[in-house]
Amino acid sequence: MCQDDAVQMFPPFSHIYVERQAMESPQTARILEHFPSGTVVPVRHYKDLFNRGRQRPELQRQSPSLVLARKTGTLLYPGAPVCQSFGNEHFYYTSLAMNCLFDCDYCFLKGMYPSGHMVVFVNLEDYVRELETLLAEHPVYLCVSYDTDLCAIESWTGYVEAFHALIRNHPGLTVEVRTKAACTGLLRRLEPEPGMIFAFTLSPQVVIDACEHRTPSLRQRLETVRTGLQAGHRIRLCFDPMLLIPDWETAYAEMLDCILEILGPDGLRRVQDVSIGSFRIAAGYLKPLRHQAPESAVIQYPFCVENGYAQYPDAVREGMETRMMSMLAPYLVPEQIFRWKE
Amino acid sequence: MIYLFAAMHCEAEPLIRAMSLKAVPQQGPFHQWTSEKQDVLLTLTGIGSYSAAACVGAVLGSGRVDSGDILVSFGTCGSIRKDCRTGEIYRIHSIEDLVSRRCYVPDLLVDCGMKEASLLTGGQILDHQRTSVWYTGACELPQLYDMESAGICQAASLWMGPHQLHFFRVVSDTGDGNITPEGVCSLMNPCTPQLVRVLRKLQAFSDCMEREPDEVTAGMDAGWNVWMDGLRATAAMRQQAKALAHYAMLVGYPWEEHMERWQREQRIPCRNKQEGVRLLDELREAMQKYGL
Repeated sequence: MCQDDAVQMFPPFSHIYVERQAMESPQTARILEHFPSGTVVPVRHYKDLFNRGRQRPELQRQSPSLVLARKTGTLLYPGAPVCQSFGNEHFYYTSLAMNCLFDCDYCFLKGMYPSGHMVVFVNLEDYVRELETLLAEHPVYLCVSYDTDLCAIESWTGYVEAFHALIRNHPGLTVEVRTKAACTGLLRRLEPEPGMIFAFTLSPQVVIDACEHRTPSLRQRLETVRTGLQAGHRIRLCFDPMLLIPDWETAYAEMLDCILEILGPDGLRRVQDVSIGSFRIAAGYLKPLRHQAPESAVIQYPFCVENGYAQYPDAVREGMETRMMSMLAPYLVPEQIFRWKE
Repeated sequence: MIYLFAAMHCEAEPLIRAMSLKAVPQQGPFHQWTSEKQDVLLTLTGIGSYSAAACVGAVLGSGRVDSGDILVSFGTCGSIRKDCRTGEIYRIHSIEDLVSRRCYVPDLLVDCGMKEASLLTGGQILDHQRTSVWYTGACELPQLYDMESAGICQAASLWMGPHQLHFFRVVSDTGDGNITPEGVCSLMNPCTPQLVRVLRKLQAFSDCMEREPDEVTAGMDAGWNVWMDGLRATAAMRQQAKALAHYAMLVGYPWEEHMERWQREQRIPCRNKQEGVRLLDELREAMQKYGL
């Protein structure tokens, strides 16, 4: 946004704000090792930074800071209605970090969070303790990468690997790691586990170019998917959110062509499942989201608001989602296709 | 606009000379100076957090603070820790209020090429014994100490975001209390050229921060209001119409043709707002299908 040569912005994570209570955490030390030139600033509480009024997240994303903190209170939440549970009864999600390295115009995080800085919670042991309490009662399907992209920050957090280790000791635990990252190294390093699902968000390249800034290309994501399938991992493909763009049918058809080119029909058949859903967002998040992306037609679209959620009109939604389903139907059995329903 | 604040005249004098600021005829309790272009306003707050907060509130409250404005608080401070030496200038990256323990964090987005430090604001002259009582164990003492920053930050936050607030301090002493106005001036003098360069950078950044004018309704105010009046639009309807017009502009939808057709069909002016709501719904539905 700021292109004046006289103005030099700080590089990302030039400043790392650390809660005083998080200063002695081993995870804090591990993370700080990855940013030796970062200026460490002790703070009282992450909300002193994250919840300030009148922030300009779009400016902050040009020069994001990192905040290391300890999360308190409830750490695992029941899954939101707008999210796909894939038929799991005990569907939970957790937030190990707030905000993402990537910058997607349509991301609900922009509507939900007042800040563009990234917060990482370092007290993983507390999350594990709460999870084990739940697991003592029933199986748990846990999504760990909703409020961030954990794979994108795995090299300095190690959280995906931590959950991978946890799954081995807890057969009732299934963890979904949602990502856009080309995390090929991670998939090669980890042994496949039935309890771990890597869910890749896929969009047509024109959507990626226009809306999913700093993310890997479609081809890069698909090559990572192929690596994961070859390694034996459970892989989910998420065509969610589908976005209404000019000539969307051609764009999504070309995306499928790319999938078939890189994975092959057999590769596509081997995925765990796919999820399909058109764009939807809590109505309260739409205004701040639009405020931060005034030039994005995708976000400025006149959505319908029903039951507190903004989404495409029924006819548009039905058209897009059924078209996607029909394109995938020759390659997948019906049990592999999950379509989000209210 | 750059709003500059300093506690004492001896802190501000070098910058007033360097920027050729002219005294503003005093109308309130605070002394002020301004630039020729009136894009810089310097105000003396007086000493202490309460005075500083009152001053900032009075100045920002009496003007119209825009998204591109910035506040710069500059002056002297004491050094709590030995790693900050007398005469050095620091950019403040965190401020803590000794009494309330509240923490303020300005957004450091622009690299000014300066050393940085944390700052503690207290109500009295620096007393090492009192400040160290609050920090035990692993907690680290802030590096610098002053009597105004927390108050300035709290007051300014009512009008400005953290990216608009900037704090710079020159270390004047280590809490030994021996400081005179002449001494302060002589410490500020060598730091002033750097401060002026930094202000120019921040001013350039503030130009980037200024939000784009509303392209949708800019230049068509009269026509827009006629159409809104024709729809019997309430404030909420006007906002909805503006959002629709904005989307139409982004995708190239000829929304004005709707308005003109409604005029030809004599559907506007509407008899009441319910008719106006129906017309807006019609426009919305047409735009939802556009491009399908």
